[in-house]
Amino acid sequence: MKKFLIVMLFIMVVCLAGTANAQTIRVLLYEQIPSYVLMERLPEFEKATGINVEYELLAEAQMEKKEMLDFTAHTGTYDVTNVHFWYIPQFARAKYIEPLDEWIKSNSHPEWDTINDFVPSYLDGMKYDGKIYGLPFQGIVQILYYRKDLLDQYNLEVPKTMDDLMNVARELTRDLDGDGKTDIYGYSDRGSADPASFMSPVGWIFAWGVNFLDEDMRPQLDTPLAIEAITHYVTLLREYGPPGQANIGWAEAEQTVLSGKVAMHADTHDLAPDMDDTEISQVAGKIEFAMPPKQERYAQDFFVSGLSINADSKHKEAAWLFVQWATSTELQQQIVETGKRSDYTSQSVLASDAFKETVRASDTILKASKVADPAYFPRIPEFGQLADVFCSAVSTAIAKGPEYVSTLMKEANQTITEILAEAGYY
Amino acid sequence: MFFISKWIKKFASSDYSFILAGLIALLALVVYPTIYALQLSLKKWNLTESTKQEFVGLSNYINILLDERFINALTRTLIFVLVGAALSLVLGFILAFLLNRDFPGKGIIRACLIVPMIVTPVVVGLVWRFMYNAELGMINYFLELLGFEPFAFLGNMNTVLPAIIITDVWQYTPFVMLILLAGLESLSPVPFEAAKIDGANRWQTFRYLTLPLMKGPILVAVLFRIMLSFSAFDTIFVMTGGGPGRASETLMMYVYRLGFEHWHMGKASAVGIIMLFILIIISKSLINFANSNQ
Repeated sequence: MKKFLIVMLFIMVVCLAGTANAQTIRVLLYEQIPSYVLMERLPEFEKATGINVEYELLAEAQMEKKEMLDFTAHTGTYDVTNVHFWYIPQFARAKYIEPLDEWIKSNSHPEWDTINDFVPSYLDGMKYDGKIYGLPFQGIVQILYYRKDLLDQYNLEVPKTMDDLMNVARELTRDLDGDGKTDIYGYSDRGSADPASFMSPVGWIFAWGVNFLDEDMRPQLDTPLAIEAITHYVTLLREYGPPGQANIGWAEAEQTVLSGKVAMHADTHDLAPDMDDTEISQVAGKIEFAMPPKQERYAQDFFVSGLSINADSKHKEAAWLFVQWATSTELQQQIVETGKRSDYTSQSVLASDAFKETVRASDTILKASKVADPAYFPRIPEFGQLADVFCSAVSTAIAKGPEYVSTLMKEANQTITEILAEAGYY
Repeated sequence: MFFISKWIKKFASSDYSFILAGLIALLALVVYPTIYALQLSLKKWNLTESTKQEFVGLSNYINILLDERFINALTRTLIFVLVGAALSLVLGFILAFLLNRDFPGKGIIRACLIVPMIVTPVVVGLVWRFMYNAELGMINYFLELLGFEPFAFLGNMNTVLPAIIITDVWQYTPFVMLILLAGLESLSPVPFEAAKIDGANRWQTFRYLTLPLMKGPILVAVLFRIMLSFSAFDTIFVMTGGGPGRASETLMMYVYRLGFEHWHMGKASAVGIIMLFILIIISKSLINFANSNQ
């Protein structure tokens, strides 16, 4: 008996010795379908590389705070984290995340090398100071959702320009049953004061050719074009948007469309599956997709999020393999067959037949990905403060009226200038 | 070494050893964080540049006290807290009076009345946000039945503060009611019988007998109610995020934005210390007021 036990122990040790070389990496992601889909395929990665992956899924806001804490405390708990494109400059500057250019040049796993296949603007979103700090995991562009049935009913063309949008929205704000109350509103968008609404009005002024900050980092909110853009936004939402628009964030704006109250909405393309989901949507099958409205440029709600390697990670090589695999065209090709995602970052996947077959909005998404531009967003560490000031001003304008836009924008501009001056930009 | 073990033995056998656990918890969870916050408030520290912590003395405080945004948040918070506490006191008293008697179903009704207090603040915020919704909300549904136009309570800069006050009152009046009820139930019936014999009417009994006797519970209820209101964050965050514009931005909301969106830890701590100071002033005034009359 004793001999038997010793032999078993010996065999166990031999087996375990084989795994002693197996590394474990920790990955932090946030709760969303792309993460779940990725986690389902983890065994393939583990089999191909022998690397063990431990992952943690948190709600988005919590994930951001947790990764921030890990970075600032330099604990190196997570080897790979999900980093949104607006944090890249801040984290890169503070040296929290690893620059990947060297890894791309010399350590690229041949099957997973996607560097030339990423949508260029998505990859730009991952850059700081010319270097790449993450590989794009998901890219989301702005598209216009509209009620085809209503546009057909009233003989309206799909709006292409900002003027078109205002006109069609006006036509579609109606009292349908003659009871004196408006039953359908033309357009809804993000109007609430919290920073989660930032993307939409910023993307709106971008459409008028204005960048939030110019090359000298001076805010441009008090320029005539920016004021015109926000006046348009505010008028559109006040006149042809649902009541309470000043307090409506992206989730509620989507809700107004799903409940059939609002005819059009320009926002991130990942809402498309919800539109057809009969469990939550009253308008399944009635929503079609188009390019976002254009003034001088297309409006933007562009969002790209990537996977970055923690600069304090102790398993950078293993982490790099994971990052490459998770963002590879090969993996995206496998996933697109399942139709579970629509936010791919590989050009070939976005142009593929499988994408066309599994995602109804595929044409629009592909077209929109070509005009997506991360430059619309002021990607500086202080963007949280800028968002706070700007969204508060836009929300106030929606609540009080377009005649206040000019004053509010000038005040916001002044405050932002002070914030940036204090932060040392000039 | 000998003295230390003797001292430990003496301590272990004394009365103080019983509160040791509580004392440690108090020091770790209350005293240490407060001192840390105080230290932090004297520094300039942006969390995204974690290594740079500059000592700046009182400049955080000066910047804040001169900042219009802070003054507005303070005004709003005071309105929110004081109006909410007043409404809760009145409603709480009414409810406590109604429950201060035996009737069938008393236990169940009391349990139902406590529910708002127990529900998670985030859930309270979400539910009320939907109730206030102009298109799909319950409140507007009833308003329409009564012939009124639906109204976006949370989207209007003038009505958003009253709207969140109502939610706050709904949430914490049960707390006030419980304390007042306990106070009422502990009152001896003797002076009340005497008053009845002397011919005092209901209002006189209430004003000259009940109120003075209830000073203690009222003080406790109001004090705690004010503290709860002051620190209310989840509900407001979920309902309005401080908006529209800044119309519902209370001090707590302001601290959150400073600390977790602007990452100005020093400044956020300073506002926190100022809030502590304000609470101390309010508490002291209330206690003095309660102890002064009679």
